[in-house]
Amino acid sequence: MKYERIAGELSAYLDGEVTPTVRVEIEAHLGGCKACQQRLAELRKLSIGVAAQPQAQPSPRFLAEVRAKISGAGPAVDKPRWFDIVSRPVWLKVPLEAVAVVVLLLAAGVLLLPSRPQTAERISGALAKKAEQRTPKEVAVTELRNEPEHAPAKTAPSVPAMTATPIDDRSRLAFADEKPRSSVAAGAVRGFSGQVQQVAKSGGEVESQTATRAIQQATATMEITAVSVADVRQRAETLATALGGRLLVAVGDAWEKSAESKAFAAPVVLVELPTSQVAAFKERLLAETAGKNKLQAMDNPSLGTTSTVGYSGALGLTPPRAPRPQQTQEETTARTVLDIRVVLPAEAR
Amino acid sequence: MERVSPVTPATTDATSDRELVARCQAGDETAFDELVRRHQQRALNVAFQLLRDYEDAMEVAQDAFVRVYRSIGEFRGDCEFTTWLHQIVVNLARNKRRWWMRRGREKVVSLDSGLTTQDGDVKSQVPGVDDPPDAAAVKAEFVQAVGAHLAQLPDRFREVLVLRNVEDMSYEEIAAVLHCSVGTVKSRIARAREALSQRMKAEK
Repeated sequence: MKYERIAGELSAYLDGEVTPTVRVEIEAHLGGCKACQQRLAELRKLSIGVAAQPQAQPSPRFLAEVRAKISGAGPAVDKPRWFDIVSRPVWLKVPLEAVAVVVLLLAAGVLLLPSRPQTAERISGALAKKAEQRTPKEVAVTELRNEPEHAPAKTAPSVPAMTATPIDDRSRLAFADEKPRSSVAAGAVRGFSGQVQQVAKSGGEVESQTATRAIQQATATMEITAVSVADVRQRAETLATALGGRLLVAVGDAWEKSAESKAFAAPVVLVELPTSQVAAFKERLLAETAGKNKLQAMDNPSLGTTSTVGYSGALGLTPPRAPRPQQTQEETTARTVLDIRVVLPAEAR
Repeated sequence: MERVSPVTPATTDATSDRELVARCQAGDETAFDELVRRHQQRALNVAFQLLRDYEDAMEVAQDAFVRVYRSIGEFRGDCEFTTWLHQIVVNLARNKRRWWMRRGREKVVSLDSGLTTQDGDVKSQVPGVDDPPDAAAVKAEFVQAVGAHLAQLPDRFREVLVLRNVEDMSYEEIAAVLHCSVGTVKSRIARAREALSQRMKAEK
């Protein structure tokens, strides 16, 4: 037996955990090797040092305290936490982690795989149009022209996570009653809002009603170049709150990290504002973002103009019967949902 | 080969642990009490060696018995009761140390200071009459140094050394407690001793 192996077995030899054959070999080696003798003596001394540690003696009340804990009278017993799971044996841990991986893959696949036919149709139908919303009015008109009134949903996604977000009857009624709407952003925005609802719902970020309400309400848009959706979201929320509005929806932070995000248009931040404050909000947000991020921020003049909300058939929404002109009086009382399209640097390039 | 003597068994009662477990599973509360009395010192001492804090060790040991009580119906006797109890104690002690780490707390109890219990008693037990003969050759300072460095070892190293040298468990028993192979125990003990040795030498 080689010296290295002998040295490696000394610890087990000390504990009597070697086979008889190895024991004989080690003892034969020890007879002529002072280094191994010395090493064995060190290991023995260490073992004695460990064994000689002071011992704790239980309190006389040990059993009574255990009984008190069992009956609930004593301090609460530590419940299993996440690290209990992490430190589980592999045969227990793997299935749990496998479930987590599967869930993540499903979520990623739903969001990022354009090749999946039914999700692709939904995403491209809503998000890609959002990316091309330079002519939102045209999009709206086109969609209105192509879609039969009260058309049913085009697709019935088979992936549960992407099942069309149930647009409840309230939203259908909202579109059917031709309720006057003020400024506008077009079918792309509405379609995108619907998509936001799905994405956000899967992420648990917002209530489904939030996006539904966003669809129902008049919408304006703006575009802003920024380094971070989260940053825009935070600033938009603060600013909207200051102006009497609020943050409705914010999704897309994760897309910043994805090289494929560009294929799915931009992330979105939706705020609800008094219509009269929209212009001020845009101006201040643009100024603030441009100043902080030292990036170009731009207001897109082609967006946020008057038009009628369009229709995204994939969402199963009932389209409005006819465009409604913007009403000036409504400006003073109505509230506007402002869609802030965030253009990330990579996308801007 | 030298083997340190095990911690003194809590009782010599002829009733086996298996019988007590069976009675406990049948709803005999006195059987559970007997299991606690029989193994409380061992459970506490393992927790104390792993944590080196008396109060937290008491909490861990008591919580371990609470878990035993609540899970006794699931214990199928695939291993010894003591193995199962050690598994629980080791896991709870790990959790406690992680709880400390998350709060930036690291406890090292001086061996000179003794141990103060809720009763105010000093329970420190430096090697005494029941210790192995070789212990007499080991100076108190050395024991203290070993204790201090033992407390600084990674959990996985401290666990195997405590189970091996304090609890006098075989490699197979340790493997059952830690849910790993005997080969892993063997190499881990060797590495733990090497790490402890290096620390001791570095101090000199």
